[in-house]
Amino acid sequence: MKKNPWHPDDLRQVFPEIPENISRLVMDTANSVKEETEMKMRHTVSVALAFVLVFICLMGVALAVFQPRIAEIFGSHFGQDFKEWMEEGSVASAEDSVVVEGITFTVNEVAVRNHGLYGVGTITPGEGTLLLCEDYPATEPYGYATFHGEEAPEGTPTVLEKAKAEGCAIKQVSFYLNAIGVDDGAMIMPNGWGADVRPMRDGTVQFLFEVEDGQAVSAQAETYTIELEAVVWNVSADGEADYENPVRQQWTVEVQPQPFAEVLGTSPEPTVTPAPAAVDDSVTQPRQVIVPEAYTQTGTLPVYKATARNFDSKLDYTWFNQSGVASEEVYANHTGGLVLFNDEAQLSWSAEAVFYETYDGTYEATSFVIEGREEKPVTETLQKRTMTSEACSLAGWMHFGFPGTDQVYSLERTELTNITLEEAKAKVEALLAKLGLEGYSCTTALDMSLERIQTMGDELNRQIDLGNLSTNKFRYDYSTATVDNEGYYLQYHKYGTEGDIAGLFSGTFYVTADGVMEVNLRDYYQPGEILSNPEMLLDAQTIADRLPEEMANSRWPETLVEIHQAELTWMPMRADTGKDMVMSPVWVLSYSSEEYGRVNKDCWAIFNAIDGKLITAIFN
Amino acid sequence: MTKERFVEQIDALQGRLYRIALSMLRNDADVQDALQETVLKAWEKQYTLRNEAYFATWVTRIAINVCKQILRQRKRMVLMEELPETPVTFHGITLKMLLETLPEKLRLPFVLQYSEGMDASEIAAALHLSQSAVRSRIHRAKLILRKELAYHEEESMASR
Repeated sequence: MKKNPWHPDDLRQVFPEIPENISRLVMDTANSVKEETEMKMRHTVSVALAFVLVFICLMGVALAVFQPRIAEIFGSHFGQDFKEWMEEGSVASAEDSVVVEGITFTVNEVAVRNHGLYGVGTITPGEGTLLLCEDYPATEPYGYATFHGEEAPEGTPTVLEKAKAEGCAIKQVSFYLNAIGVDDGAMIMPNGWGADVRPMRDGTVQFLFEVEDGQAVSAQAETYTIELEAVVWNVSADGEADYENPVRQQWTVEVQPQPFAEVLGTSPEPTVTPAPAAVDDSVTQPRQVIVPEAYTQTGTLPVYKATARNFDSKLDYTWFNQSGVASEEVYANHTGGLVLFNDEAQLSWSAEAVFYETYDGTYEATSFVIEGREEKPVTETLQKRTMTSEACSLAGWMHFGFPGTDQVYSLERTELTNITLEEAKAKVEALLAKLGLEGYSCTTALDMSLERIQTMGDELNRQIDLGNLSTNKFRYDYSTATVDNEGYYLQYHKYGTEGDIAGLFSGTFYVTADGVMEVNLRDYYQPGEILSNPEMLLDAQTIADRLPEEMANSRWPETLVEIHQAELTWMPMRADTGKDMVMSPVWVLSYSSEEYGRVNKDCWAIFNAIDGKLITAIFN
Repeated sequence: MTKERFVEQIDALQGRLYRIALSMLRNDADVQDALQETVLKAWEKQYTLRNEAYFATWVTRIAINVCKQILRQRKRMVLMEELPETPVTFHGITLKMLLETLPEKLRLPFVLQYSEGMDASEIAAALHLSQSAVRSRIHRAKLILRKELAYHEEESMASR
């Protein structure tokens, strides 16, 4: 009979009996403990407890022992593995509230692990108020998270019915996460964040938020500051929320997370990093390394002070359109505005972004609303984009992967009927110069000839008919396109083309003989004075060798397949001290990974080139 | 708990604590530090132990946490040569080497069950995991070990 390889007797031989000297040490230590300490400690505990009880009696304050539930709550939504992963991080009790229209918004707990920050909170109604979650219709059963899979028992009153029966007002509630600060540093708006709101049986609403953004959430900090916004909308007796008149209130929560195990009262449990696998050079060696010229000469790059961009005072509307302004709205509370031109084009902007699009009339679009448990079609009037704008949209599909085929297309012609590629680039670069933006280079160019517009447009319609693209966009007859719609789809980047950096400094443009007809531009920071010159930066291979370990630490089970490229560039991040932002050198790795048997080719990770720490990555 | 009772309990557990510490720290010097700190912490925090029946599991948990703290502080890559040799081999691979193929997350619950005879609930309490997580990790550990063993069995037969 085959011997069980892990018989307890054999396993005990791997780890032999305790050596005599260690056994003596253990027993000497046990024998050296002092019973007075025990008695003194108990006495101390008793005195302390008595004091607390007296305090409670005098102040009438309930004593709550913090037993974190956040990991359990997130685990119930995302799986046991995620709960266990989170519990290797740190947690804090927040219990920080703000009251809006008599409704109390409370952040209960916050957890942090790697570059992820997670929160759970409760929204509690005031007297005579029932709460409705954003996106939940008032015709849903009261107190049941039906959109999250809960089944309400038959006969459960709807929110509307309960409100009518009890004479209560209905208020719809939600929240937004605006920015995160770390150790008193700059507040950063995260690139994206997840949110969940769900009704609870007791009439409260539970909300969850998660941010996985290495730029906003530093992995190990003492204090995290979270800027949130509570939002309340009145709901009519018919169940319609008054979205035109939200009541908003900002509130800031500050927490100091401690390791989970410490909070639970055991010995401090530091994050345990799995033993790193031996580095496989064939996998971690980047196929291509791109560096600025200055780096090749000095082996280093400067750190610049970074100031936030503000387009508010910079825009001359005639740079985009000369048909004249039909209406103009500049936002009072939030920087930005919207301009409608006489030819229906629109220019809109915020502090760090500019958008320009062209329109031509309206069309009737079919959408769906949920009434009860049914989807009912509704017709709404939407603006119709011009054929030129539609050509830009087609080019976008062709660049990122066409619906139904995922095919990607590339540049074929550098000359079209009325415009060349070089002329198109010159127009974009002139606009960038007017906007005060330097350092951009063209990373993508796609020609949209009349033939391509018509061919790809017809193909798009075919894919919609096949069900490979669900949309209520206007159904164009592409045979009506003309050479006036021909143009170049151009993408420009400043710092890197992958990951979060690409999103912070990027522009997409469509240029015809008439000019720049479509603009989608983001530029968050301006580099200023040089703050420091690091003596040396870590090289590409040193950084690349760290990637497998960082992937192993993440909550996602990815394996590195190949590193396509390592690019040295700059990225905005918090200064080491103070509230300033800096532009600091980083390595951007573009790579392929395998997850659950599938290979993902568009992965990225960004490392600090000075200290080698992971800043952010697709798996974070 | 009286000191006499405490010493008795530590005496009964010292072998287990040694094996657990060795499986995590892999050298006697660190193990000595870990065990000493474990005993002192256990005495210091005994007021948090609600039921003496759980003393073994409770001290095991303290030992594991102490070892993890030492690992973080030391940040050492431990060489396999530092581990004691074992005469037990399977197709040319020692059991020690077989266990080395397991990540610690899987190795620890596996060793606690098969070497120390702890059941899933005890291991769960010691490692702050759910029982299902403990079972799942032990199951995964066995899958990896079986795979390694099968590989070495094939290699061994091919070389004959």
